[in-house]
Amino acid sequence: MSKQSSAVLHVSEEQLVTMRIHNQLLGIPVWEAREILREQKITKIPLVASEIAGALNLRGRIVTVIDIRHRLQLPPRDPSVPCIFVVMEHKGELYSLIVDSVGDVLTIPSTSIQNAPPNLAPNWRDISAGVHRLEKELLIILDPRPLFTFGVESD
Amino acid sequence: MDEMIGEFVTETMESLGMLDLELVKLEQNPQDVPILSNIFRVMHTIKGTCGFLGLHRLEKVAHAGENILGKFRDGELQVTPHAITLILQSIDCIKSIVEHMASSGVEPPGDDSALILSLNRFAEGKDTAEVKSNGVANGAAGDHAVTAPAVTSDMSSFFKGDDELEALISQTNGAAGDHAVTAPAVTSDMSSFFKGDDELEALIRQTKGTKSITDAPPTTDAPVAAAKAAPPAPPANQSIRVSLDVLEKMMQMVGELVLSRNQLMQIARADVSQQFLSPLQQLSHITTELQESVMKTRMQPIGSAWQKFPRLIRDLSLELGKKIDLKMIGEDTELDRQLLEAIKDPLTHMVRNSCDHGIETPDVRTANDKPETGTVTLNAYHDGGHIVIDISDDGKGINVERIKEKILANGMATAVEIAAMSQRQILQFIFGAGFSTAEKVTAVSGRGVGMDVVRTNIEKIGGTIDLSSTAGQGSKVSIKIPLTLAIVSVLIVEKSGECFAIPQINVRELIQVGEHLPMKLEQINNASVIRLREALLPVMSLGDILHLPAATEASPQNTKQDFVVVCSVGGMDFGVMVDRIHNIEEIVVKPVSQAIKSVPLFAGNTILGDGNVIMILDPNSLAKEVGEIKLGNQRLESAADTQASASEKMTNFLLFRYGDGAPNAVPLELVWRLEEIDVNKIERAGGSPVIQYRGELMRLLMLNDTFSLPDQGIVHAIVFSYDGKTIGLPVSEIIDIVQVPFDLQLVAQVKGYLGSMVIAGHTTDVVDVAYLLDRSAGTESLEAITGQKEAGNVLLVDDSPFFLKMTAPFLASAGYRVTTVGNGIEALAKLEKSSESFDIIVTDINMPGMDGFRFAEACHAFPRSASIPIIGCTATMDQDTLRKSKNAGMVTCVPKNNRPGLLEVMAGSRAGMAA
Repeated sequence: MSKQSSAVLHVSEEQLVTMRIHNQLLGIPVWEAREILREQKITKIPLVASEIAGALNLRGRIVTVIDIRHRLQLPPRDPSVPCIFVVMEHKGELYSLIVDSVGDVLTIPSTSIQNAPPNLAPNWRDISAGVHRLEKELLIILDPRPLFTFGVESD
Repeated sequence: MDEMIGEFVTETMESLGMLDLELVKLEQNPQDVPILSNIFRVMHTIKGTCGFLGLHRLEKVAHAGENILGKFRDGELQVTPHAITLILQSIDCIKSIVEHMASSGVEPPGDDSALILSLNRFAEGKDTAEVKSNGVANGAAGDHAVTAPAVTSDMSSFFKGDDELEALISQTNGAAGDHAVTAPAVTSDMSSFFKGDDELEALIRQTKGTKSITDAPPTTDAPVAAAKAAPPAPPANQSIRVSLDVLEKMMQMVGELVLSRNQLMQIARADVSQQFLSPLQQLSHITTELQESVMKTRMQPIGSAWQKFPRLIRDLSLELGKKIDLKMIGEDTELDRQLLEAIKDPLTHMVRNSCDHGIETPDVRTANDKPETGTVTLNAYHDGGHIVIDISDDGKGINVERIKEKILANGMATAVEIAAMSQRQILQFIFGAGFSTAEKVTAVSGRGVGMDVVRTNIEKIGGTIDLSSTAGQGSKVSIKIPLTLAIVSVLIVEKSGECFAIPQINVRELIQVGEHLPMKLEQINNASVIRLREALLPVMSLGDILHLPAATEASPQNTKQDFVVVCSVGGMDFGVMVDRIHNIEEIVVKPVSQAIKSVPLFAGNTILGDGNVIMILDPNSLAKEVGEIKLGNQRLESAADTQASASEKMTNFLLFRYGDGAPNAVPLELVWRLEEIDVNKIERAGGSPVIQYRGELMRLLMLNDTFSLPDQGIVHAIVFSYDGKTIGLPVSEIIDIVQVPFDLQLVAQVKGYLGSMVIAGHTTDVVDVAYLLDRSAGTESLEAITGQKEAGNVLLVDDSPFFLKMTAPFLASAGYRVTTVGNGIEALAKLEKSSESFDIIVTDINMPGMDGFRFAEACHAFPRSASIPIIGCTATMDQDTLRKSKNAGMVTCVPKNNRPGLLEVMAGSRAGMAA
């Protein structure tokens, strides 16, 4: 269902949930975000990739928590500052991004989304589906799929 | 009921239900090709299956029905309501037969020729013409004539005749019009009361007659109504098919429910509000019940895992040239689908083993007064929350002696240990890696892999495996496994502030260790161990395994007390050190996310009662982690080292303290008993201390003067017994038993010691027991013989690494240069290839494979070794051995314990050579 609606939205406009990590404005398609959670207790998982922050319990389902700060080479999160969890689903499993805050849902015309500039660092380029120019700042549209691949999956 | 029939019944009932629906649709849309071909396909499948299962009555009816459908499809016949009615009748007929089969498992007797005839006539196009020319009324009457046999045949099988029936039916007969139409329905309702066949058929024929006369204004839908009114005798096994996905999902949901219930209960424990308590209790109760019912849906009869065995046995008996019967008992025993999958391979392996190793060839069996055909029996049954599966055969049983030899040869245990073992314990060695007693490797088994894998697989699913055998009568393997895997109990442990779960089935015990506690952590070259009863247990910190940060300041180093979780996986014991032990919880294992799959240490994860996510550790991977720490005391379980030098074999040592010096060790193999002696009971005889021991006088020997007997109290003594001599060695303290390679690093300069080696990090003196025994016998004459230098080059052949090690230093001290080999074959190779030439050969008599006699004969056959004198050495000396050794060309044979004798003979034969 979500796929269909995305196809429909692509031709006209895109609804994005906006969020901030280290003051950078990011957006993901609204249908990708299943749930937005406040403070959660995270269980750390040893021996895994450093971007996996742990696991949390979402009403009986286990959600793998991903901290993309490490991937984007941003300074580590200050554990004392509260954070927000954006839960997404990928191949039947739940994942959650840790972000600093979540903002409004923006509706933008699909045509206004431009490719990421070539001088953007490769680790940023990998996860961005495009850039949208807002009046005051730039919004990077996240492509969540690369976030959920950890070198174990082929696609 | 035959399982095939059962499945056929379920499947056919489903298809028939669908056919009803489709036919009605077809009637409404006669030109709809997809519907028609669908109907045709279903009917065809039923016919095909019937033919396959030998259900001829069904097959004939289905075939006739299919004929008509085929003609519809090819356009040769028009789809008319009348045609549909005919098809529906054939379906009803099939249905009634299938229903009967559902309850009885066999096709009911009966005759459908009337129905088939009318179907065939219709198919040939005759019936249609008739209907068209005769008009509606006659056509309908024709319908009746057709319906009746179908219904009667169906009923005849149910009715067994009764006088009352007769009365009833005649009443019915008497009634006119409408009654006659409903008659079949009424009678069939009573079916269960009626018996007797012939009268009934006669009666029905009457009814039929009545019908055709009285049915003046029949309606076309009457037969359909009659058919519908025929009671759907509920199939005995009412079942529907549910996809596994749905079941898995349900299982998961119930798992969640259980977890939520647990969470609620936890809250309730903290804050008991009367208002909630009662409904909560009820919720808990219902949840448990729901869980049980859902569990039941996952259950499958074990017979489905056994299906392939008859074929397997047949193939194996051809391949092996044996006659084998398979008996299966308790096929209906149900267990979890997942478990069923898990035991399929181990079961297959064991059935193969029974056929290959157990059952003898027909000629051997007849020679042993057994029936020519051997039997392999599979038996499954419930036993208190577990399923037990026995695989037994009436073959030759397991040769325990050969297993003992194998254990010795592989250095898995010493002779003393084996002597103390029960048969059951000895048989357990079969499950060790690399253990196969099959004389020859066949395509089927005997490669020494398998039984350990079988055990590991069974243990993985929380089961145990046991083996018993009676020589000549057969053997039995018992597998005991839990009913379900879905819910497991785990032990929650904490390390560095993080909690982890360890499956309870692998946890053997919990030990608290610490500086001020009896159990301490000790280090050997950075590897941690604890002394646990008779063994050293390798211990690894969970923090090291998981690369967790070091302990936080919350647990100060100096008052540190750790817990060791002793785990057991596939015969290996190891300890995992953690900071805290929490509780045991029942959990539902959830698979880990893709992102974590690459870490083998996690078997899954779950949500605890407090809502936290927890990782479940995989004990097998933990064992591997610990196994990477090389420890000398682990069980040596590889047969691959039969080629390897004997010096690498493990020997068990008894460690003790004698006086204040370094620990002493004596090979455990030589120790007879450990005793506590009351000092007051020690007497003196001939100037040396003795004690009355088991009705005899036992000499107490002192090793040296660093230790003297206390004036009173209890003293420990190691008792040696060899060749009728028993001596006691009082010691200050018994320390431990360890298993290490016998590797003397320093040859002793002092009499009474063989030399020194490092055991458990300490320099340890190894006591020369033979010297002690000699001293006790008063033989102090060794010195006279030993003294000479360059006495010669000796090849020492013995399969026991212990005796090689005991004798080699002794011979060396007598001036010989000694080369040791573990068996005759190796010795021959040495003699042929080695650049050295040997002056004398000392060989053991009892060796596996090539014994001493055959070795001696072989030596004489080779030019290089033909003239070397050979001396036999045996633990069991008798006249026969002496005679045989002379026959084999040996100089003589001496008892193993008579070392001076050996030296004398050796010196004598050297002199003989020189002369």
